[in-house]
Amino acid sequence: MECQVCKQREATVHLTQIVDDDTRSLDLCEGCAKQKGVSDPVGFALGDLLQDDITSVLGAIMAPGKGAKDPKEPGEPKEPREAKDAKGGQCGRCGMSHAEFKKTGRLGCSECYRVFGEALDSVLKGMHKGVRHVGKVPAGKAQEPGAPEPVAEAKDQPAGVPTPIPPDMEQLARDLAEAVGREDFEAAAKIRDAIRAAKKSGTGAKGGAA
Amino acid sequence: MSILEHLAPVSEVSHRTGPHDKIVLSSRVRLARNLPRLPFPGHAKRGDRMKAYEELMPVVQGLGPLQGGMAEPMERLSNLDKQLLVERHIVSREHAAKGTGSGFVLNREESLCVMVNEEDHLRMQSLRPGLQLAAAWAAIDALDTELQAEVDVAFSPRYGFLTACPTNLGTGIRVSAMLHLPGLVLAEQVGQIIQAVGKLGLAVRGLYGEGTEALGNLFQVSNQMTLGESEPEIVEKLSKVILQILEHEENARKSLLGKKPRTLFNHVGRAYGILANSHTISSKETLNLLSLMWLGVDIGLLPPETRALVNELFLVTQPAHLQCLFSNKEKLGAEERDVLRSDVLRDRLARLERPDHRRLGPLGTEGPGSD
Repeated sequence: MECQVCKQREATVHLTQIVDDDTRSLDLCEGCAKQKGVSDPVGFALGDLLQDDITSVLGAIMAPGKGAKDPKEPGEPKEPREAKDAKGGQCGRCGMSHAEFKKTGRLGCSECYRVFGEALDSVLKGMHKGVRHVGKVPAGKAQEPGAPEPVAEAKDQPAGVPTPIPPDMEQLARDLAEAVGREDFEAAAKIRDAIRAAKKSGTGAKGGAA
Repeated sequence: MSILEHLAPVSEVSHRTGPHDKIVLSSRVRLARNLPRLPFPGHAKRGDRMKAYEELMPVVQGLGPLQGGMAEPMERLSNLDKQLLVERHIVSREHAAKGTGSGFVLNREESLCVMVNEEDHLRMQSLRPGLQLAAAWAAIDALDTELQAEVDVAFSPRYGFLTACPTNLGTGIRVSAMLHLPGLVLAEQVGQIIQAVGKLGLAVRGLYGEGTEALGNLFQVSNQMTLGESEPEIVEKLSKVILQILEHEENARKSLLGKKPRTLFNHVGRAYGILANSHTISSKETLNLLSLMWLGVDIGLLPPETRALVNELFLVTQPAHLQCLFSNKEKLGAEERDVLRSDVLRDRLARLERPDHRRLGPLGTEGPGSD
């Protein structure tokens, strides 16, 4: 089989597309495949081919003098991938596209967090305990006004909720946390044992109000 | 000349001690920080990467705790030097692969290290022997605060400290401890522990971090979530979980010693036998057997002062240390290293008394432990 581009060498790279009943295929020699950007059939991201409109990929390869797009290149608007992700946007500062973020899972610069904010929140939800920062804040930078601070609530026992732990157990739990905090593990182990003993004997069993 | 000459001598490193260091070998806390106006290192062109490097290296070197320490650009290091730093857990494997535009700064005590242009512009870590997570956090928190007085770092009130990978977003903190769990491995309970720890949102990894094997019964436990929890909460959670794993490991050892003493003695005795008598041995086998030697010290089969020797062997039998300390050759092949490693082990263990179960008193009359 000869290469469909140079029509000289033996074709060793074969691309096939099936849409409904329509099958299209492209046979290239190694030289032309390399030139058109499909040198490594595995590296040529099979995923890209499957995701995108393959016709345009094949079209781009077939078009004389025009190689397949490097999907990493912040591309021309013609490419369907870019058009599709236009709503996801592209970072104006570092050029990171939404598609690239999705592919690598990495952001390009701090500005990207503003650009991809919406898409990011769903990713963050599955990844972290919350989607808002709780913790150290640089000096002189205030926490976002009005931002919910779920942990602050969790810390101070909400007044209305009946606590299942009798007061002495609560104190023990606090002591334990404190001992762990100052890395006094011997004390921590003793308190832990005390809590266990109390739970076992029933003195520390869940208090009535429920 | 090797970077080894500028690091603390192996004999000193192997004598470092900390609370609970029989089971918790080391504690580590690292923070990820970035400059607000330059692309993250992985996405930056050479020029921007160099800008970040040139801005940050002098600032980092000037921070109080790092003054008078070591500062090296990665491109100046040989592959062997880089591997040495990885074996010491001073830089990450990822950072060791870096060249121009990346570097690290290490304090004299080797307890604080800052990597410049790793995955983030700054990766700052605090390393301590034994279980000392709160102390490690306090040290790196102070360094970070000092840094932030010198440079602006990327921060959003909503997302916290901004990082190249969203998995580090928020606090940018990774709190981890290296645990030696031969008891749980021998009792075949370690799988349950890993599962339970996983349910708490914590990760368990091998000796050199992400994607590495749990050699030598060593497991690294760390937090995965960095957003929505404060640093002290994360540190405390890890401390509590580790304390529990510690208890399980102690119980597993006690129960093995009570029910199957012979199995334990057999493992330790054979480990000693192979280490002290082999004529070629891989680094993987060495790590696994040295782990059993540690166990032998812990349960009293070997004298307590053997522990530092085992620590030392653990370090010097790893490929880069082995080559730097015991070979004049430019580069050793894997087979040559295996032979050299066995020579070193035979030599060091020749003077060591054999593991002796009589140190523990007479064995019970319940007959040989099963299995």
